[in-house]
Amino acid sequence: MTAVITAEASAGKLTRARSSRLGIPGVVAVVVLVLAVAAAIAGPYLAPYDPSAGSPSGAWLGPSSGHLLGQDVQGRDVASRLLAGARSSMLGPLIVVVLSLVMGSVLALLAAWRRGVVDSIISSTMDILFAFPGILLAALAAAVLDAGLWPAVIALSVAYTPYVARLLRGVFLRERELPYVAAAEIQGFSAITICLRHLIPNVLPVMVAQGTLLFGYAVLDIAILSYLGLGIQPPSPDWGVMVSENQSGVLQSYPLPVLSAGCCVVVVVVAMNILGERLLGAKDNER
Amino acid sequence: MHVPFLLKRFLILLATLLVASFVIFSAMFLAPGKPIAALTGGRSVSPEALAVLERRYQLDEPFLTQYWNWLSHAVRGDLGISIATRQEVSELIAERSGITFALVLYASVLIVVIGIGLGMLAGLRPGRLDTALIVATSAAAAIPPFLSAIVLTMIFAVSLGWLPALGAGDGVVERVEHLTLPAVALALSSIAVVARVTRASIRKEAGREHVQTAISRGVPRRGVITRHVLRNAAIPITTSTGITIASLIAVSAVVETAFSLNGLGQYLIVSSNSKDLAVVQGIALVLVLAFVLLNLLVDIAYAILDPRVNLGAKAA
Repeated sequence: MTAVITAEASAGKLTRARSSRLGIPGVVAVVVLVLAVAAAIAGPYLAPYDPSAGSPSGAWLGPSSGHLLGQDVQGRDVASRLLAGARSSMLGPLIVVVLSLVMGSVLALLAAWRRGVVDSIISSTMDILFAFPGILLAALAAAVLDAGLWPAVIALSVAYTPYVARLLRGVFLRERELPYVAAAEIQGFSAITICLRHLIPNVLPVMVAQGTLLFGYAVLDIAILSYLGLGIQPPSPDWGVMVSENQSGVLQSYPLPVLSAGCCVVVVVVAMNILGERLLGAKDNER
Repeated sequence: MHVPFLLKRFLILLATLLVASFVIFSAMFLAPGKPIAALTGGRSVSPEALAVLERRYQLDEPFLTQYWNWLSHAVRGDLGISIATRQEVSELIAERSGITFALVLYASVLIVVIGIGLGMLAGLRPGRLDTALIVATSAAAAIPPFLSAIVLTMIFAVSLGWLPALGAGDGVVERVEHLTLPAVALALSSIAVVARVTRASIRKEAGREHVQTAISRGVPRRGVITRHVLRNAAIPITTSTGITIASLIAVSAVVETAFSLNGLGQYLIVSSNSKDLAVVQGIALVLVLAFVLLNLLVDIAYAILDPRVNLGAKAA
């Protein structure tokens, strides 16, 4: 991801080469991602109004020059809440991706390196984990702990781990068979050195592409969990929370707050899917 | 030949359920708000009364004994008593599983008919429809179910007034009417996924050498498509459709919440927020069971469709 962004930033031939491979949708996706990251970092400072300060008289007011996207159920500025909500809506998924990639790749590496009993134990544990959908794990986590961002993040990380582990196990198994690994083993390098210095760097592009796709799913799932009340709790500004808070507006023909929060989720998810698929495709072309 | 494969699948299913039940039970056991606090409702209770309560709900036994008690009752359909309503958990689940079942079934029909139908159309006829489908499905696959629920409500319930927005309705006709928008909302992104998989597998099979050979030898196109293309493409299509439908079991919680349907998923969310642990355990167990059974069905379908599965032991 970062490689792509820096390539976009550096002018000249590189940009053209990159954008030709990304295509127009890919470039748009990168722009969306940059904007979303910028909002996640600077959103609370950019927000023109206090995202949690409402006024009962302003409830359900439509767009005006002061409030571009109107005001929500409690008269809070929708645009400000969207900007301020970008942080939790993006940071939660980022932690999910990092945690599940780390857990998944450690398990996959263990299974692919040791094979035999270790492999079958890890693989069958992953098979059992598949029976727990993310929403179910999050409901369990919310019942055990108190509902909040952390239980949701942990539940999703656990739910994503078997997908990551299954995919990377295959990749690592293929890589493990390559002659350079045997050569390094004969030279007496330890398993950890070979994995850290050679295996993981070689597999990194696949992991980055997979992480990009996962990030899209995680944005969607965190929004779903916050909508259900299993994630970030109101009145914190968050895209999923905004949808559930303002849902009553739909039946009163005032859907703008709900739609704008929902659209933020969809745009980021589509952008991440496009980017992830391009990165996977780019990886395939190289082979 | 079928038996070893199915037997193995069945044993895996049992193991999965056992581990799942253990995980579900121990998660609730570790919960800081012990069931005793919910029983007393925060009132201060004399130690004697507490001991009576503990004995009645068998909360003074060691962990494994409690797990065994719970599991042996659960197998017989006794999932304990809801702390919030004092009703049998199994009754509460039975009351609500009908709606969830109907909703998932309705959505599954939509997925099979529309998803596979669109995918076949696009796969067999490259051109404008195909391009439109790719664009539409990549957008639809990214729409969260709560957003599709809201947009559908806006269009068909608020603006056009064709269909009801909330509740489940009584009687068969009304029930179908009430469940139409929820089922579409639940199915939408899955329709997109299934359509894409169908299209891709048909394309792949249509490009294979034996299909090209059959066409070049003048075998009628219809026969080639049904006998060679669809027959082989059916394997990945069935598997991915089955897995997608199985995943709806959990997602139904979102749609039920959005449309105020009194189903299992919505009740799971409510109970986990109110820390009604016996209900959370019960519903989680039922959902995992449904999920695992559906996956078993997919495996059986796969074994029937793909003759290589039976020879698996030898070929491997």
